[in-house]
Parts: sequence; C-alpha cells; structure tokens
Amino acid sequence: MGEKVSTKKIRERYKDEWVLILNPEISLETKVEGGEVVFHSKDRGEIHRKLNDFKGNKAIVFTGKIPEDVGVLL
Amino acid sequence: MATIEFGSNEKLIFLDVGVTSSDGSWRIYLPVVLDTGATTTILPADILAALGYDPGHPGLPRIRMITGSGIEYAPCVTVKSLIVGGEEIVNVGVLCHDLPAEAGIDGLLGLNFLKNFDFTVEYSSGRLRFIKIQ
Repeated sequence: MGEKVSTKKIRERYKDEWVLILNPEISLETKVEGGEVVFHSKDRGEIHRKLNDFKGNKAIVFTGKIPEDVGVLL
Repeated sequence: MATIEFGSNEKLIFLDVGVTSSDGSWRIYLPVVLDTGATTTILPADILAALGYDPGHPGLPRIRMITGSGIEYAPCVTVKSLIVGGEEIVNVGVLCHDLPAEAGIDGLLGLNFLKNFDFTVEYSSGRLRFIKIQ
C-alpha cells in the first residue's frame, strides 16, 4: 500500500492536474479528504483510462481552478 | 439534514459525488457541479463503463438534450446509487455525456437527484443544506 496523502497536500503537490486516488478517505459530507495517489496527469482522459487498473474505491480530484477570465455555461 | 461546505468564492458550486458500481461493491468519487439548470445528472461514459455499466448497450433509452449549443442525444443509464453530502439516493438515471475537461469537473448533479431534497444555497456561510424529502 502506498503513502496516504491529504487532499490539501495533493493540491499542493500536483498543481493544475487530474489526480486518481485509491482507497480514498471520504468525510461524512462525502468530501474526498485524501488517499493513495496512484496516477496524475494534465489529461483527464488518461485518468479515466487508468480506472480499470486498480480495484476498490477510487476518487478523482482536479487541483486546478477555472481561470479568472473564463466564464462557464453548462 | 446534510450540510456541505463549498467554496463560495469559486465560480461554480463544486461537490464530490460517489457513484456506486453495477455490482454494488465499490464506488468512484468524482468532482461535479450542482446544476439546477440540468434536468438530469450527467457523467462521462468511460467512468460509467469502468463502474461496470454498459453505456453502449443498444437497448438503453436515448434522451434528447437541449444544451446551450444545440440538441444532442445521450444514452441514459440507471446507476445503483449516488451519494452526496452523506445522503444516498438509489436507482438514479444518469446521462452519458462528456463535458469539457476545462471546467474541472466530471459531471453535473442535476434536478433528478436534487428533487429528493429541500435544499438551500447559503453564500454568506459557503454552505449547502440538504433535507431529504420523506
């Protein structure tokens, strides 16, 4: 089993990336609090393709932010 | 009642949603946006496939989606459950559709999930409050 890292640390270590976490720690309010980082990438598609490489609960975290000069209409 | 903190300075209301696998034995937790303008929850097809669902099954209903940029069709998968704020709703319809990665999310939490709750958005405290409708 790898090192358990908090989501706060993950955001510091992997800036503007998508991060795949194995055996995530989930708070009572269903917030991803941390876990074992097994893959990270700037490319979300790469993270999705890695999902089947690991068994058990997983979480995906994006550590970036929407740029100030960008609006979003979904 | 469930209370969820969100970043009130963020441009969107970001949440983590847990999606249960087709065999019910595990979950993937994903970043989504709360979207009261979406009738239905949206998740990417490849994530649903990883969870053991079959988004490509020809027997799935295809739903016409009216978006800001036109009309698209997407298959609808019923997932075992979604969990947000510690509250789980079973048998939820999810449209299989990829949103642009630039938004920093994997999907939208739409009204077909939210209609199970009375909920309030409190920007002054940065909290969402959900009360499950019995």
